[in-house]
This record gives sequence, C-alpha cells and structure tokens, in this order.
Amino acid sequence: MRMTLDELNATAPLLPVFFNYDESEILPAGQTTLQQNAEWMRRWPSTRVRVEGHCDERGTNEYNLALGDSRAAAVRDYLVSLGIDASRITAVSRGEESPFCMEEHEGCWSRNRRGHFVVIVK
Amino acid sequence: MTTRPALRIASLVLALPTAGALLFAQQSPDQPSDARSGIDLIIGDRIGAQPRLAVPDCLALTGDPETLDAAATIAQVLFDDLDFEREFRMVARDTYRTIRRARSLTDLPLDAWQELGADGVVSCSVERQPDGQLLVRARLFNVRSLDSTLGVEYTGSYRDVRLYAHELSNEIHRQQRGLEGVARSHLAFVSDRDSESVLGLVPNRQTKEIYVSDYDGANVRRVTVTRSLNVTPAWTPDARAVAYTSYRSGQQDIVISHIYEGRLETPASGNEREHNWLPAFSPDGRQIAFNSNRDGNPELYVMNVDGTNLRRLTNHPAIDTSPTWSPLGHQIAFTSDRTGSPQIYVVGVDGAGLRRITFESYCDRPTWSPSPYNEVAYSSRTGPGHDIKVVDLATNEVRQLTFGQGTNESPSYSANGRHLVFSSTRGSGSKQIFVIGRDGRGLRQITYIGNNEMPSWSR
Repeated sequence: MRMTLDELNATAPLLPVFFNYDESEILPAGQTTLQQNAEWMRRWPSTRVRVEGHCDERGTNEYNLALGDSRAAAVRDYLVSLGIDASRITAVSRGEESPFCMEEHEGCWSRNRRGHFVVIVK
Repeated sequence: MTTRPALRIASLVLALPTAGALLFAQQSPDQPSDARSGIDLIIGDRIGAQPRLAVPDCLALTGDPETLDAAATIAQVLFDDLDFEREFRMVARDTYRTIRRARSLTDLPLDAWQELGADGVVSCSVERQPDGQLLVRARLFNVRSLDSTLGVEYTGSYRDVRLYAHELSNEIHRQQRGLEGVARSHLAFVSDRDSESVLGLVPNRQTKEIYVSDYDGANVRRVTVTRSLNVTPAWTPDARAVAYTSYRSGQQDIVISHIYEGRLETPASGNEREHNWLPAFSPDGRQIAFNSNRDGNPELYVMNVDGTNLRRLTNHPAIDTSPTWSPLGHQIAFTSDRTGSPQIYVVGVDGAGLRRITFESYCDRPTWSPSPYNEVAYSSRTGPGHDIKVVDLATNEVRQLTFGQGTNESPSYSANGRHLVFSSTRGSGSKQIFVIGRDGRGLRQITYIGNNEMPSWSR
C-alpha cells in the first residue's frame, strides 16, 4: 500500500453500519457489511481500525455519549465474533457530536446512527 | 427586620486570571448609620410589595473616557444583577432623565426619586486614582428615611468594572434580602464558535472547545485549545477548575483543567480500550462520579479526584449514565435505560436503595438542586424535542419550565438554587445557552455566537 492513511480513508475501504433509533443491535444489513469488513481486515492483517459510534441529534447529548459507546462496542464485538483479533479494533463513542448529515429528517438521522470505520494503522 | 451591619470590611481575592488584583471593600469614613443606632436599614415596607430600586449612572469624578464608560457600565450591570434575582422591582432606567443628577455621592434629590416611585436609590461615583486605578464608591439610600443604609468602596483595575457591580449587587442582596446572589458566579460551556475543520482521517470534522464566562455571558474565555472534541464541562465546587470529556487522544478521557494555574490532570487514566467521560464533582470537591466502559458497557463509577479509591456504582447490562450528586453527597441521581427507555434513578453513594423517579418517555441529564430545594431538574422528551422539567423529591410532583420551543437540554443549577442554565434551539435554530428561574420565569439568552451547549454553573 503506497497510499497515505488519509488517502486510504478517503476511499472508505470499510463501510459503515446503521442502527435503529435508540438501539445498538447489529441489524441483518449491518451483519452483511461487517462480514465484508472482516474480509478486508483479514486480507490486510497489518491494519488496525477505529470504530466510532455515532447517534442522531434527537436524543440528549449526554445519553448519546453512552449510546454511541454501546454501538461502537457492538460493532467491535461482532467483528471479534467473526475471528478478528480484538487488539486490531478500537471502539469509541462520538455521541451526537460529529454528525455526517445536518438536516432534520429521518433520511438524515438514519445516516447519523452509525458505526463509522477509520483505518488508523495500515 | 434582622439586624445586619450596614457595612462590612472585606478583602476579596479575585479568582480571575486576568485580574490578579486585590479588591477592597472598605468602610467609608463618614458612615451615616448602622444597625446599633436603631435606624431601619431595610428598604421598603417589611411585608407585602417588593421594594422599588433605582440605579442611575454613577457620577464620574474624573473626565477621562475610561472613567465615563465605567460610570455607565457599573450602573447598567448593577441594574441587571439586581433585576436578575427579582427581589426588587427595578425602576426602568429610561425614566430617570427628568431627575437632576447627583452633585456628589451623598447629594442627590431623594424627594425627586421618591416622586418617581423609588423606595431606594443606589448612588455611586467613579474616579481615576493617581496610580491609574479605578476607585468606585457606592451608597444605597432609603428615599423615605433619607438614610444611607450601605456604603462600599472598591479599588482596582478598569478591566474589572463589571466585577465591582457584581460584588455591589451581592452586598445589596445580602444586606437587604438575606440572599446570596450569584452575580460573581461563572458558566462553563461547549462551543463551536472557533471551530476549525481539522484535516485528518475523517475529513472536515468540526471541533468543539470548552469556554467559561461570567454568569451573564460577559468575559468569555476559551479553556481548551486542542482542535478536537471537548464536551461535558463541570465546575469544581470551589470554581477554580473545570473537568470535561476530552477527545484529544482520539478517545474519551476525563481532564481536569485548573484554569487559573494552567495545569491539567487526567485522574481516570483512560486508554485505547477503557474510556471515561461525563465527570461530576461531589459537593465537597473530593470525589468524581463518572461514566466508563472499563467493565464492558457504560457504567457509573466514583473515584477520588486524584484517581485513587475507584468504586463501581452501577452494575447492569443496560446504559447507566449522567451522574449528579445530592447536596450532602450521600446520594447520586443518574440516567438508566434498564426499562427500555432512559429514565432517572436515585441510588445511595454506597450503591444501596435504588429508586426510579421519572416515568416519562425519555429523560436524561438529571441535576440535583442545591439545598434548601430538594429537587432534580432534567431534560424530558415532550414531542419532537425535549423540555426542562423539575421533580420535587419530597412530593414526586413534576413541574415544567420550558414548553416546546426548540429542544431544551442539559440543565444546571445556580449556587442559590433559584435559577437554571440550559441549552435551547429556540429562535434561530442554533443551540444557545439560556438561564431561567426555577419557577419558569425570567428567561434570558446568554450566548449568541456559533452553537453553545452543555452548560455548567459554578458555585
């Protein structure tokens, strides 16, 4: 890999997984995504990733910090269940503090309720 | 009436980094009256209507622009401070122009002030001293008895003109109403006003930093300069430090910033796997309750401020978060979604005696009132957004302070328990800091620049 980490992340090699409102359960679509992401991590065994748990703005800022932690942990635990070494995954909540979409409708909120992947070591 | 000394000698060390100066409140040499003389110091009739106060501009005894400016600023800030506690009915300042200006601190037309309906008038003078310092003198006159009931002098920097007004307001409330005012308290809050789009692994990610200001929003100062995410500030009870959740390392950890010394501590010692967030100081300032995922999911813990003596407070597979201490430090209220939705619970600091205190759709961010009030304020979902509510712990009665204008979150009490600060999206749609009386009256907007949220009100 000749790309810098920034360039690599700009290609979004690992897809996000999305959650239902006020839930941290990995949905069937998310399970499929995480199987693909686990495949990528097996192909590139030197990589380490950070999973960020994000929430939509409808909850309170404080509760969402905890909810984001539960979401990030759920993503990490699912990848570990697929055989990925836990030491390769850092899970961290960003609550509702770093939204991807700023409008007030469900199409936007649903994009913000997600586990977002960042490659931190390649 | 209670007999309180008309004047007190106080030496106040300013807890402000920009104002290392000493501020002296001294007894005036020609003290006109005191409690022992039998003269009634308390303005207004003792039962019934609130006394009416007027606060005209101070008399500038030197003509330089800074002193002229101080004369107007001190009077306006004092007027706003006195108006804030609603102990006095303030005579509107735009009705004063028909009244002859004072010739000196003690020569003012009290009969004209009485005719305007005032029970009391604050007379003040400002002058530049030979050493460049500002000298402020103030008297509170009873317009009926013609007595001066309070007199103070402050000397210090021109930077602190608002502080002299705040201290004078506190003195007047203390002497006249037996009330500890909050005019010298501070707010800490989160803001994106200086947000920078930081280049990095996630492009264009906005930053949030911690700020502090006076209780009325003046003198905003930035506390963090991390160019990352900083949230959930909480004052220490001595108001000398702010603890907050920092993402500087890429994950969350609790940082205590001793803002007047420029010293940082990270007592919870987070790492890549174990994160700590949402600190809340015990009333004695010796312990911190906080959130951590160190045992696998968000649970509450208590530690000493130096990180020793860690105890786990909650143990449940659901989310437990948002701790707040009771006034004596024996109990902690917090949020848990163990029934399927976030609700507020109270538990002993030893983990015993759990009880649920809210039964609504979604409640979070409990904040325990100071004594003598025995109530918990919180943010409750009431529609698309949230409103601030208060539950009385003795009666379980709930009262609502905001009513569906925008979303209203993160309440925090003033030290005297009479006011709350919170964030709201009302009006512009941006998130701003507001204060409101515990009775739901007296709403004031505090911030206007950028988005501002998660306020904490100092003791």
